[in-house]
Amino acid sequence: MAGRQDKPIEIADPFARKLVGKYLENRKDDIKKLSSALDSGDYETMRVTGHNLYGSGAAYGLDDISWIGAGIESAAQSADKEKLERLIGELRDFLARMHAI
Amino acid sequence: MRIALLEDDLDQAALISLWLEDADHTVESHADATSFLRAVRRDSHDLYILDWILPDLSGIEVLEKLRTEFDDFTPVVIATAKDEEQSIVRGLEAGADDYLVKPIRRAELVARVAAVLRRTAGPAREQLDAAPYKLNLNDKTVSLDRETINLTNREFDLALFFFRNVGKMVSRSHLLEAIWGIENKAVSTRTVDTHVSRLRKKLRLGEDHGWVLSAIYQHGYRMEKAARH
Repeated sequence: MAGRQDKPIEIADPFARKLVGKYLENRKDDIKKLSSALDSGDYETMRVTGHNLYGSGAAYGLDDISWIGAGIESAAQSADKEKLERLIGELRDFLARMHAI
Repeated sequence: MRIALLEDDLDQAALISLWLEDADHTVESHADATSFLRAVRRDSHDLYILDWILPDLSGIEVLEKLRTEFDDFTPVVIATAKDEEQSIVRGLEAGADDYLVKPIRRAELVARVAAVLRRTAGPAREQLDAAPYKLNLNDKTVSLDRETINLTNREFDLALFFFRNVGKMVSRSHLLEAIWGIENKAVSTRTVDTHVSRLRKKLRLGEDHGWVLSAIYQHGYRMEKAARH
């Protein structure tokens, strides 16, 4: 997997292109789930959500989501609340950017 | 080929299914181990793809159940984000035929699935020996102790499918897909039963010739060596 995507995102896989709208919509639910888990200190939910983001993002051609997911999984394991807050913010910004495109 | 996918992330399951369907497989997707295990007990498949981290059992526990409790040796590919060496070793030691690290890429997934299916099918041969039967794949003929048995193409394909899946329960719907083609909705499972019954008679399957084709109530059929052979 390549590093963070600085260039405009182009989804090469035609099947991922077909499903990516719904995929991004579903990530909004992840933001809600992560924010609520952060408030209640539910690190397991954050770890699993991060793990799934890592597994799915790059498959859809969205490497940034995988990177953020990996960070969330790792920060949840070490109960690093500050880092989790920052990463959830990054995910929110990324989704906002994608919806603006 | 017919693939059962166990993946709790519905977005990943949707994409994997599209990729595999584009490669001419049919995919049945399950989001939890309980539903997956229930499905594979009543139906048959050519390959399973298992995620590791699931809401109920782990993919490894599912794999162990398949191999030890269900006596199910259908090829398995584990697809997971767990990329540590010890996880890969554990998956393979539990009986997986391949291990794919997420994020999954389309071409790699399709190639690995094809490779596992190729490996488990064995080398391409012109003839399949299931003594005293010989199936010639070139001219689609079957002989029993050198006597040629007259089969239609469909009956030959059915016989070949059973002899390639000895000991495994194959469902009627799996036979419909593999022999008649999934698009053939006009063919009912009754047609399968009629063809199987005719095949049994033509091949004279039974204790005398060493092979038994048993009906598994509400499930399908299983070809086995007769007990005294």
